Amino acid sequence: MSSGHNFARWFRGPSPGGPLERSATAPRTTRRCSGLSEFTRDLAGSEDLKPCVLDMGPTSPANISFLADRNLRIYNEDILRAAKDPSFLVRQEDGSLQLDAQKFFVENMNQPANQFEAILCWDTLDYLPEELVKPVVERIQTMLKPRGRLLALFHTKDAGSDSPYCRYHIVQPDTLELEPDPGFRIQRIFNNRHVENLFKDCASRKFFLGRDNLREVVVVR
Amino acid sequence: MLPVGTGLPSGCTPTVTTQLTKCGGKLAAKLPHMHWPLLRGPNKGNRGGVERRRQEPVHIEEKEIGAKMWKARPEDNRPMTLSASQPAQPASTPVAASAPSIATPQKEPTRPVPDTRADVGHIGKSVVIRGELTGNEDLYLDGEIEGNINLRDHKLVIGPNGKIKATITARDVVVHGRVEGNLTASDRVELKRNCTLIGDVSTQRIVIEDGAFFKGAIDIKEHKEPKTEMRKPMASAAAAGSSSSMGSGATLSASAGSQGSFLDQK
Repeated sequence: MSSGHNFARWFRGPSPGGPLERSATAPRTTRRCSGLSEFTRDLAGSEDLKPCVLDMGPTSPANISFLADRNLRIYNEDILRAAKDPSFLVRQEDGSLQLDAQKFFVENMNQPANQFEAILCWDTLDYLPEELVKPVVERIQTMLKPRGRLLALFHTKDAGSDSPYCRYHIVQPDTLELEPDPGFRIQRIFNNRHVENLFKDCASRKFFLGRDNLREVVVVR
Repeated sequence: MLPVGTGLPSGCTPTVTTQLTKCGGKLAAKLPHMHWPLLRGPNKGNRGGVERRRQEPVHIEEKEIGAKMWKARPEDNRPMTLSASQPAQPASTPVAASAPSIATPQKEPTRPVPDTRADVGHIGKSVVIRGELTGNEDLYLDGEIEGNINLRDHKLVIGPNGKIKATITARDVVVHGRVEGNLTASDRVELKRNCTLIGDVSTQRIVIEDGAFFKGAIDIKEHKEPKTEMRKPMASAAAAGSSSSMGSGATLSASAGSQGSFLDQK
């Protein structure tokens, strides 16, 4: 009876409200990431005994496990979530609320200079409030060691303004798992020139364009 | 049949039925546990005396009688007592042959209490502590703590209502609630779903559930096995000492030295 019922579901599809339906609300997809592949390869060749890596995305057990397995010291700081903290908002003269960058940096990204060999920025810069973009990039460059690596992802114009924010989980050195998180909306779209301007003080920038309209950039300070 | 009131010869066990048949066959069925000495005295063999006794609350009599009855026939009781009260400990506590184990029927058999529950301290969610918290037992913490927590070789569980602003040192730490402060665990850290940890973690193993929020650094320490490394030279030193028939003082002092350092480390 039950086996017949299960067999019939192959043709009918999952019943609405069932467990499959609930998991389908946040399907995870995997994608190849050439930028990550190069990033990890460079990291493996680091001369430090225990290189420090900053993950600027949400806490991901997969990422921590992946980095810890490579004998790396891991820092995790979800700045996008921190930027949503209402205590950083200041009311302007016209009555509007604006994020106070100075207040934000007292509690966030306050590590010493030249602390990290590598930083995983993901697509955070696409979703950050406008007031924080430039200061955050400046902080990143300060915290990175000379010759340190940064991996950032940027949505292209074709991705559209409704590109969902995703949490990135490292599955393999060249494979990412994307988990949509509906809590954030894309704020802007950077083109190649914008990205080059953002990291103009760095030694090199390498671009990889994926089929899913996601641009991967590996920046070397 | 023996006459009433006379002493029993040695080895003869008095039974109720043998005596009550004298008073009437009905009583034998109604008071099956009646004891021999109770029928002695002024009313021995008297039907009226037995009748008066029957009007008294029977359940109390039966208890007393039953106790004496069991005492009088220990060979019947012993296997029952052992199997009922101490099923898991067959020979650890010897039962005296004359000891009336049924004389204390109210005593519940001692059940083994699980150590995990007994050794865990519990701080409830309404408790607020400011200062240093040190302990030598596992601790479940659901309250608010500000200061330092030091449970060096024990497990600390921070409950979902726990709000900790402290430097934590323990063997295992499980976080369900919110922690602000550095966390050092000699063995393992678990960050449960919906927990928040703001601070640096130093541990050998870490488990992070999906949905946990973590801000800080993670330093995975390498697994050390000092005990096995220490025991090998000790054993070899001891073997050398015994084989040299305590001839060399150097061997003895070396073994004593290693023993001392081993104990110190422990």
